[in-house]
Amino acid sequence: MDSETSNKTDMSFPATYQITIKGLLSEHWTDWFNGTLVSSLNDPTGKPHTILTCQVRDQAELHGILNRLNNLNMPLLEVTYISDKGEDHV
Amino acid sequence: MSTQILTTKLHIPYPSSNLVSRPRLLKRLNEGWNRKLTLISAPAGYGKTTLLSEWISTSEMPFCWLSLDEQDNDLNRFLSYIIASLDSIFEFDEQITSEYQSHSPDDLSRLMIPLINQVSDSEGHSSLVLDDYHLIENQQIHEAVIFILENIPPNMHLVIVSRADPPVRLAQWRARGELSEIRVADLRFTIEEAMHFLNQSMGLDLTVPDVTTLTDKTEGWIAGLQLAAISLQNHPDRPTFVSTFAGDDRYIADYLLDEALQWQPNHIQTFLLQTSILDRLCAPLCDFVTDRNDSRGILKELERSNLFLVPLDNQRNWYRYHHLFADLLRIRLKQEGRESMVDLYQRASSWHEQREMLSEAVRLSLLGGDAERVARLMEGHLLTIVSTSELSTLNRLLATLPKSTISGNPWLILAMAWGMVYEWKFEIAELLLDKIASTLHVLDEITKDRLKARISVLQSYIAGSRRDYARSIRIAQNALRDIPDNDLSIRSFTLLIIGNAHRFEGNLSRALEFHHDALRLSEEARDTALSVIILSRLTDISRLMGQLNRAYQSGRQALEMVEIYQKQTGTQSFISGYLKLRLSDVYYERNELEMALQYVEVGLDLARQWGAYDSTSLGYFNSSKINQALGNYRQAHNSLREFKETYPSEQRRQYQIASALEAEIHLRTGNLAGANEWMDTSGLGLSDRIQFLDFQFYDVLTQVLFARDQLSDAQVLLERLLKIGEETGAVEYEIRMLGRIALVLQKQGDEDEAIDLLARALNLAAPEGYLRTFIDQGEPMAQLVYQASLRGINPAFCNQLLDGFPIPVVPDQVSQDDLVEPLSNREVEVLTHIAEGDTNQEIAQNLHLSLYTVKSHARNIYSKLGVKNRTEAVAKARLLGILPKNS
Repeated sequence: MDSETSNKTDMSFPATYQITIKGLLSEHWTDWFNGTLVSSLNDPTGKPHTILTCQVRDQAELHGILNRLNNLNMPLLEVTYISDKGEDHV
Repeated sequence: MSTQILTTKLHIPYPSSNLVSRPRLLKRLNEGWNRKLTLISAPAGYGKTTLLSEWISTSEMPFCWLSLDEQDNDLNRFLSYIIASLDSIFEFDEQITSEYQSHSPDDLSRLMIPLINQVSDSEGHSSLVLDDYHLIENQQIHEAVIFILENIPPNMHLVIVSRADPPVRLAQWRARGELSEIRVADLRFTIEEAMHFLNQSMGLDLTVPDVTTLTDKTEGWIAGLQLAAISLQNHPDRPTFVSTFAGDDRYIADYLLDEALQWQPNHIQTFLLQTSILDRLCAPLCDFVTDRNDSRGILKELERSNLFLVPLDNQRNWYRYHHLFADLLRIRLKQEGRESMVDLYQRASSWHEQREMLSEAVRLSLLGGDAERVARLMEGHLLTIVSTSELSTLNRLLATLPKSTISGNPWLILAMAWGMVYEWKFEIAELLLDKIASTLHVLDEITKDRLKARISVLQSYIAGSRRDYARSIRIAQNALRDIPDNDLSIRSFTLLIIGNAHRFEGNLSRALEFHHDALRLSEEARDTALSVIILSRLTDISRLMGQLNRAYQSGRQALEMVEIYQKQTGTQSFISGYLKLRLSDVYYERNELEMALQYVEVGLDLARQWGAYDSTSLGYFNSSKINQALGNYRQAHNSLREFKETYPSEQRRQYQIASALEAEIHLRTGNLAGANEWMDTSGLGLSDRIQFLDFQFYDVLTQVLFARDQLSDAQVLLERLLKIGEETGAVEYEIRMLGRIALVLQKQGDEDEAIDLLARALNLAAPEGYLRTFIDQGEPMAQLVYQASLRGINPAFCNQLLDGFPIPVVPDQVSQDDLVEPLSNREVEVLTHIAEGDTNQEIAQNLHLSLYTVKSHARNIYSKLGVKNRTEAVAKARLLGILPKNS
């Protein structure tokens, strides 16, 4: 996590989040959650996973994405708050 | 359409024929029945619904079912579906089924307590299943569910099926041992279950190691196994498939869908992708969206081959895809290109538009991101949407659009403004209109003109709703100058608003003119909905103006239009509700009470379904009137009370009308105290300036004065009202006032004068057959009409009237002594209760008799009095002086 933002208590939006899920996703999912996607076979635990980086307008949008992942039975490994300057990352 | 009860949402899903029976879970479900709540919480594809349908089919317990969708995030709608669902078991009173329509959902307990009480009083017992509860986001609904749980009667059990845990205080129920839970870990297929599923249900012949591999790989996720099975059915080399799948690291549904689709013929693949955008599928809709003509066959084939298609009804008309499957398909579809998707949503939307399922049409356009089309729907169907009060649904749909989209589109702002007016929030609506006006300069001339016209029309409508009719007419007249001649519907609608303003102000002949002009234009525009509304209003105006026959013709003409329209579109039309209520007015006046009641029931039902305030109030009032005429005073009273509870805003006119009508019932049932109380609190005074719209209040006031023997006060007021009737051309009022004045004169002993006035009333009424206007004035009127007939005044019509009074009129001097056999004390006691409008059940309770005894007393009473029913009994008893005579 970014050390500068990790101390912040008041987060502002839009913000960028990284969501890590189990398994590999192909490119065409990018469009689906409106962000970028990197799949990798090598994580610290050695299991294949995918990191979705997405910019959200508010917490509600984030929860919307998490709900959709739940609906698709995609197991969630991690959700990380990256930055409130979302536009720099996307 | 969305506000009607879609019965498909109440259907318990059929257990699939190739079900894997799950006794271990059924046992737990059965054990949980004694607790308040069963929660089945797991992501899509774990067989939650399938498990329940097996439970239901093997259980002796009755179940009610409700499949929720996103549109149920409205407390009133949610509750109306709950009631519709529970009604199948508990058979609620009519009054309960309308309770939910309240516009003040703040007072939750007031809405919920009668519902809970009815369930608790009922002998039945049932579990209520709320399927897909994760789609509910509205906090009020969560609170309603908590309320149900806190107060759940022992003969009811709640089952919530959700993909995520619902916020209904689960921890509390768990701690109290009131929660039975089935979660993912329980739902995963065991290897035995997977064996059964893959080898028996899906007809594969897999080895134990292969099944074990698949179960491990999918972690018992049933949808995953099902997708794998579909691929395996067609795969030439099953062991290879299993080992390849096991070694693949992709998201399993992604991988499996690719595999499953790959083995389908091309046209099926395309069909699946294209129809995945639909929440509900039927063959004609699929044909339209996919541009094919063999959808019925394809749907049957898909259902047969277990391709995640769930039938929603017995006849296999409507289906839906399994949620997960639809989601995956939609992602594939999106991959194929944004444009094709927009096109599909557009087609689906216009299919619904053609069937006037407008909120679904709007929803599909919103999903297609086609704000333009939403705006166009608003533009083209604004009037239908307004007049059918689908605005509440629309408000919610619009709320799902980003603010920036709405503020960028004047049509959408206009739609919101209408929505605000519907919620009686005029100030906000006006702010929105200002906002549109400020963006007009960037638009092209044609759009600008169209919008300007519609802004004016709404402003005029708002002024009318505020009872500022002069302003309403002025704005509308100005608007007419600017509306292009070929913009027929909006011209017609504007004329209708002006006509309405005139009608409320009492310029009836002007009102008539404007309605006729409006009708010409709506017919030229072939705008059926608008024509039907105009004709319905013409029915009202004509009746008021003394043209009962023309009123009837207008109503029948509109009814024919509605019927043709319904035949063409195959849908029930909302506007027919208002029409039927207006026709019930006519039947009522003609004393055709059966027909009137029939029309009122249908009309009120429709009005309540779309929550239209004006029509709903009209329905309740008419229902009350008809029940009074039939002698069901209790029920007449209940209708009014129900209306007041449904729309509890005391400031609104209709609420006050309901109070006045209650006072009228008090008078007829001899409850003078109740009528006095109304008069004291009504704020009405003898020297008030009387507006035409308030005629009804003062009419009731004169009746109270009459009953209090303040005859000269009554007469003065009646003369003023008569003048209003004469000056405005409201012949119906004129007839009624002449009759009332005649009764005052008769009571004062001036029978000649009384009969002169009555003769005037009879002459106005006879050619058009106004009957109830006289009959409703009761027994003294019957006597007076009888006297008039004796004097040879319009004897044919007088006889027709006399036939309509509840009992044959007999000369004044009869008394109980004339009865062959006098009534016993007990019978008089029972009769007194009958006169108060008590039901037999209530009388039995009050007098501590059995129901049977009360009925037998009633039979004796009828036979001694020589009458057929309660109404006649009460009237005859009054005539004979057995009961106190009241006016």
